[in-house]
Amino acid sequence: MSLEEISKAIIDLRYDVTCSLVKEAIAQRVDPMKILIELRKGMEEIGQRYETGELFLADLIMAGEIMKGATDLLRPHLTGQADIPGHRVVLGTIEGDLHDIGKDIVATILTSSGFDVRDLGIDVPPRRFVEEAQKTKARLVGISALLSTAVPRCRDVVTELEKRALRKKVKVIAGGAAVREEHMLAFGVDGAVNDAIKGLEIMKKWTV
Amino acid sequence: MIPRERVLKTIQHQEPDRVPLDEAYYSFSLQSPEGRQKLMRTIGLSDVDGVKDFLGIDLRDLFMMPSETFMGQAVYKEPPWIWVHELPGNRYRDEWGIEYEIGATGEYFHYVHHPLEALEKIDDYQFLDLNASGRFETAEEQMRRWSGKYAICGHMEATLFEQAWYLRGFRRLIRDLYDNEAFCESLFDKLLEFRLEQAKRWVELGVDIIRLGDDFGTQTGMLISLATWRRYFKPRMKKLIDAIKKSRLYVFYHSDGCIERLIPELIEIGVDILNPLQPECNNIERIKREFGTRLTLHGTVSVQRTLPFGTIEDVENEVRSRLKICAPGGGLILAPCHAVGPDVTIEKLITLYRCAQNYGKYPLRI
Repeated sequence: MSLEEISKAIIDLRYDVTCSLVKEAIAQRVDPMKILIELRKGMEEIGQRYETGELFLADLIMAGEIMKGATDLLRPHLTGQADIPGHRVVLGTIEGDLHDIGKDIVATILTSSGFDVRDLGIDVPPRRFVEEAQKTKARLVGISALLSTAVPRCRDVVTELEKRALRKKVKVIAGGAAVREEHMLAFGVDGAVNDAIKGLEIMKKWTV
Repeated sequence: MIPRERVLKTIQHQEPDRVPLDEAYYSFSLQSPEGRQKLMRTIGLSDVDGVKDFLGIDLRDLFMMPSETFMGQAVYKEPPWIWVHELPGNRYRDEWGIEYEIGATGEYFHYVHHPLEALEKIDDYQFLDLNASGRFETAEEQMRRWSGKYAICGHMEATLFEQAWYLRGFRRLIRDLYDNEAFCESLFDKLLEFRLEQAKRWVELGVDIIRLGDDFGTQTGMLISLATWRRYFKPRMKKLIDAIKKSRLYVFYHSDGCIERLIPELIEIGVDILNPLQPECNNIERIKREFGTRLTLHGTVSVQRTLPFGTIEDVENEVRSRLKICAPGGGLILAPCHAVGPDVTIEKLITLYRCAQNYGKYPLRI
C-alpha cells in the first residue's frame, strides 16, 4: 500500500477503509508520525472542500469520526515519540451552554492542523478554562457558545485570566452562532468568529 | 376578523385585517416559568391564553401527550420542556427512552442517552403506541376550547431526521448516513409509518395545519448535501405531505439555519408555510421575492441578534422592515425565529408584538 491511500480514504469519507489502511501501515511498521501526517493531509483537504462549499457539515463530522477512529488506532504507537507538533489549545463550551457539535468540529480541525487540543467538554465553568491553561501552559483558549445567553460569559474567562496575571500570555477566541465581531470589544476577547475555518486561520496567525 | 380567518387568509396569499402573529417556538416563547410569571405580571393577566391574546398570537399548537401509564410517574420539566421521569443525578428520561441532563445554569439541556445507539436492528426497539390511553385527550379538550377561533396546528416537528438522531445519537446517525444505509432506511421508514398514523389523528381532530420539521440548516449552509436529503428525506416527506393534503390541511415546515437551497424542493413537495427563516442565515427579501406567492413565511425576527442584543428601537425597526418587505399580498406570519431566551427583556418581547399589531394592519402604511 502507499501512504497516499490513507489520505484518499479519509477524503472519500470511508471509515472502515481508512482504519484498515492505518492498521495495515502499523503492521508494516510504517513510522506512526508519517501515518498521522497523511491523515492530517486528508483532513486538510476536507477542510478546504468544506470552505469552498463542496462539502457539508455532516461530511466534516464524518471526517472527524474517521480521524478519531484512526488516531485511536495510532495513539499507542506514538508513545515515546516526540510530542505531536503544534500548539496547545484549551477548548470548551462555556457554562450554561451544552451544544457540542461546533466545538467538536473545531477540535477536529485544530487537531488535524497540528494543534494540541485539551477539550474540556460542555458546560465548562470559566475558571476551568483558566486552570487548564495554567496547568498545561497553553497559550490559546477557545470558548464555544451557541446560545446568546452564554456569549457574555466569555468575559468571565478573560476576568479570570486577569486575576491570575495570565491575560497577556493567553489569547482568547470565542466562537459560535451568536458570536459577532463586536463581542471582541464587549467581552474583552482577542477573536470572535462564527465559522470554524476562520477560527483556525486566526489561531494559526497567533502561533506564527 | 377572528384569528383563524386571519391566518388562513394569509396562507392563501390574501391580505387579512392585519399580519397574523405567532409565538416563538411553541412553549419556549414565553421563556422560563419565571419569565412567564414576569410577563403576566407586566401585562396584568394571570393565564397563558390571555397573554397570547394580548400579544395578538393567532395560532394554537396541539401536542401529543405521553401515555397514561408513563404519566403516572412523570413530571413536566423545563428544560427540556417535556414530560419525563426523573432519574438519579440530574438526569431525566422521556417516553421514547431518550435521556437528558440539565446544565449548570438550569437554562438548557443535552442528550446523554439514545435508546438505539447500540442497536443493530430497528425491530428490537418498541415504538410508542399511538392508541395508548391519554395520548390525545388533552389535545381533544384544547381543540374544543380553541376550535373555530384560532388556527390550530397539530405538532409533528422533529419529523424524521431529528427524531432519528434523538433515538440513535447525532454522530452515530451521521455515520450511519455514510456507512449503514440499510439501518437508515429502516429507521426512517419506521418513523414515517409512525408519522403517517400520527397525522391521521390530527386530521381526525380537525386541525388546520400540521407542523412538520427537521433542522437541516447550519448558520451558513446545509447540514447535509442536497443529494443526501433527496435520497433519504424528500421521498418520505412527500409521502407524508401527500397524505396530509388529501384532507386539505396546510403543511408547516420548520428548519433552523440556512436552508435557502431547500426551498424550491420543499414547495415542490407541498410545504405551504416555512419557519423560522432566521435573518442571520437567509436572505429574507430574496425569499419573499422569489417564493412569496407560493410560500407563507413564518418567523423572521432575529433571536440571535436583535432580540437579545438590540435596543427597543432596533426591535421596532426590524419588525417594521420585515412587515414592509414580507407582508404585501399576505403570506407572512410574524414571530420570533426561535426560543426567546432569558436574556431578552419582557419590554423587547412586548415591543415586537405591539409594533407588529400597530404597523401590521392592512392596507399597509409603512
